[in-house]
Amino acid sequence: MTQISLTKVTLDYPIYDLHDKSLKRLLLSVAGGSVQKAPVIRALHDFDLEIKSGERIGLYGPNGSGKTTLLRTIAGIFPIARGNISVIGQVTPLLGLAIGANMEISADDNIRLLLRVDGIVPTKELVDEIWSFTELEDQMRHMPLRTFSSGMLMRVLFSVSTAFSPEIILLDEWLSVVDETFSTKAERRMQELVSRSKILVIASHNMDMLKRVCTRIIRLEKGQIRSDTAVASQVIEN
Amino acid sequence: MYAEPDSREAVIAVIEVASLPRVKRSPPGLLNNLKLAYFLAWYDVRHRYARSVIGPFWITLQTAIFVGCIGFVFSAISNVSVQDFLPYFAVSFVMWNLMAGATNNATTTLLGAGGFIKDRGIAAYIFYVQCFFRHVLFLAHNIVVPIALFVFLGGTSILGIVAAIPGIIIFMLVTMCLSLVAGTLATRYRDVQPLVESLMNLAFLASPIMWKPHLVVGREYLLDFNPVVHLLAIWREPLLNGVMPWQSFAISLAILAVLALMASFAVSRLKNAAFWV
Repeated sequence: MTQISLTKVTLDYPIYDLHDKSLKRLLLSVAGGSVQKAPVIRALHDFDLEIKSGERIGLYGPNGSGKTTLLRTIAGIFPIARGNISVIGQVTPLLGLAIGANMEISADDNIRLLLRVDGIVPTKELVDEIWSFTELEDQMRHMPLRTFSSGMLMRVLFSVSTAFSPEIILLDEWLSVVDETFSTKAERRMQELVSRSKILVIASHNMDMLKRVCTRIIRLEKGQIRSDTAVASQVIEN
Repeated sequence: MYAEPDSREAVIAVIEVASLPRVKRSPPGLLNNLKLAYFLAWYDVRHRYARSVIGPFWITLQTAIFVGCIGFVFSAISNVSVQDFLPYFAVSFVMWNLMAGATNNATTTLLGAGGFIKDRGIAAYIFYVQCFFRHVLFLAHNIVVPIALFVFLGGTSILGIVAAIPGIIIFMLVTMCLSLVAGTLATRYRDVQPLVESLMNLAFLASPIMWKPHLVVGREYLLDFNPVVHLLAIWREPLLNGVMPWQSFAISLAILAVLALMASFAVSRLKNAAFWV
């Protein structure tokens, strides 16, 4: 069973300025008898959310409304101040595509490395399949990533990130590749990835995309749910 | 087409998918994290090779040149024969490089891993382990220098090497814990990094690494109250002199116990790491 459930979750995001990052200052203020805690921003406030298997949730809201924070909280990246989170299933947060790529080592080694990061065993067949998906020339495979153009780099990173289907995917914006020949293929792959996963939570500013992809759209404002609506009719695409 | 709400409930190790490749997941947990740390470390070392023609030997050669030059000069300064001093200095220097390198590097290692932690949800302690593994791999390159010197100049025995193993293990565990503590503290409080660096430099000069302990004869307190002296003695004494310094073992184990406690506290604080980086 795959499920995400948040009950009365409160997340305080501490804002450390230069003073709060100084041990010397902390020791001095302890000696002076006045310890001030870093100011916090209440990023999520008494947040309740229940996501069942098969749901695809779209998070919509202005900047700073808590979309990404909510994704990170579900992924267990931010420790919560109060409340309860239970996540059943393997969570794969794909919040940044370029994370972990090492520009100095070859594309091939980067694919292996990024798979490891996602907890996947980089078998030869898998790496071969990922490489062939990029449709790049074979000789590029053993070149360091820094020699790649940004478009080629995106192809590689996209291919690795979408090469396996996690049970729960957390996305910050829809992954796409701006490349005429590649974008249709990439879009199909994303659709497939999403359809294979059991839960998708995606944050976006693009309402059209959310309506197309999601079964339920949650509008966030200041760390609270403003509305939670099911998407009535689904356009079935492939 | 989208999947109908959940027809396959079972969580299986091998997930089969029509056109997406077949994927094998390694079971999550400590072992998987250590593997990841090792892989990241291994790629760091490969990165060091990448632009040099002689590859791995570059790391070894750098150490060999340094040990050679300083070895000759300081054997003269401390009035010890080169044959006696070089293996002593070489083995002390490469081991000290593990401790100092891993600890100094740990103070900045998390700053470069912000994306991994915040966007991929990788546990922060993995990067300290990565940093430690990286320096162990460097040690594996550097150790060639003292080994070569021992082979050509002598100075140890097989028995001595075997007897040095427990001390080396303690030394490495201390290094691991120290780097975790220093690294965590330096990531939360940014003014700690230069402090750690100068302390490590101070410890290098104040401890018998570039000089032999006999130089301070008559002022033994200079050695007795220096924790690094004991951490060096527990493997260097059996290795070079065939003696087991039991008192230093006791002190080193006490240091390890204290550092291990501090390290476990540090790891528990690392749950907040995503706020720091």
